[in-house]
Amino acid sequence: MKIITLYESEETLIKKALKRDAKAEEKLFKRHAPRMLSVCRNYISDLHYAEDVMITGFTKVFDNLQRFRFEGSFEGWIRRIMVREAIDFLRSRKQMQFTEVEEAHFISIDADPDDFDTDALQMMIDSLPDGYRTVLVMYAVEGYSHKEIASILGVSESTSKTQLFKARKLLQNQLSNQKTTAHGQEF
Amino acid sequence: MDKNFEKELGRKLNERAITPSGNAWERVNLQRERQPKKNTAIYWIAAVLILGLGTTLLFNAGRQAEITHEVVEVKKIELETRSTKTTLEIIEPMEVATRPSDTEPKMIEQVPSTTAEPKQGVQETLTIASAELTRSPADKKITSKIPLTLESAKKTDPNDVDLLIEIARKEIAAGRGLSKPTDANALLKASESELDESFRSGIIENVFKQKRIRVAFGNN
Repeated sequence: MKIITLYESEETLIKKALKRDAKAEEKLFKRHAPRMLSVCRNYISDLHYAEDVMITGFTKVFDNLQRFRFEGSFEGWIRRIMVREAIDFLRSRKQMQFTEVEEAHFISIDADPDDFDTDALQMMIDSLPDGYRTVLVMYAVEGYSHKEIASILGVSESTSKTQLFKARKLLQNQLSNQKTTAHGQEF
Repeated sequence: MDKNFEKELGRKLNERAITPSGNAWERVNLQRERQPKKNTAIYWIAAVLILGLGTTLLFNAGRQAEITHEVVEVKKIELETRSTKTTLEIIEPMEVATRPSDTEPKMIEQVPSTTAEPKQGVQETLTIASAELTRSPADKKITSKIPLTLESAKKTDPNDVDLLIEIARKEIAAGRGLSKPTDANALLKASESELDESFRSGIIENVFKQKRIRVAFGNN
């Protein structure tokens, strides 16, 4: 005897969750929580803190569910809440500091991400200062423009650009070191 | 090349999924349960405060209305007619009336009181809440009321008249009555008009009897 679980569309689940259906809320949480924890982990190097931030983020998601207008994707809406929650967390711990750079030079990273697994990439990103990492993740992973980043972080556009420039420079150094180490191990 | 690197980096990190701890959903529920309690407590406190404030304001407003109703100035105007004397009491509000009904002149008719000071003729008391007696609407009301009260005076109970006479006697005995000089002849004529023939004939008979007795026993 097979038990077939019927797939409920996201819209149905959201409408049920709007009526305080606990099961629908739990289903939505389980469906999106792994991705959202990854989003929080991009910004926060400690996984436990990242989970705390994700839980707070989901609390806000369900409390403000009536504000979701079914215009864009639900995942995108939750993701924006998570990003803001993670930034607020970094701000509250005064971990985010932005150092000004006079001129943002263009730095090319001569490396292929496929050469590195996700954990190795995450470790490299974690090693960046919080300000650099935040701007890099917002720009490269979330796809925000410098204008949007400046607005969300409360900095100037040029600051956002210089933070990205520094992040790239540091990543370049790390990747070239990794390559050298890998080549050395081959010989 | 770096654009591709960032693109690939984004793709890799976006595809990643990290399984949260087993009690994550319970923690979300716990956090949600905590928040509404705080909110409802605030709402309850606010509601109680508003209710208390509203009750206090209503209570004070009621008291003010009572006070304004009580503070009035009473003016007495005596209207003399041929046979009666009518006292009108005009109540003027001391403060500016707040309710529209207060601005309207009111006429309150009082039942003729037995304790009122007895004067010549019938006395009636009318209470009028009005700013001026000379106002045409108020005037009309007064003039329309006076004949009614005079008619009602004609139907006065004899017991009431006796009581008024008794009070008048006491007043005279106390030296407070008859402030004006009285015309004795007029009083005699008035009393004579009230007397019937039987009373007069009784007096004449008595006078004759006294004369007969004197005649029988002599002038001493």
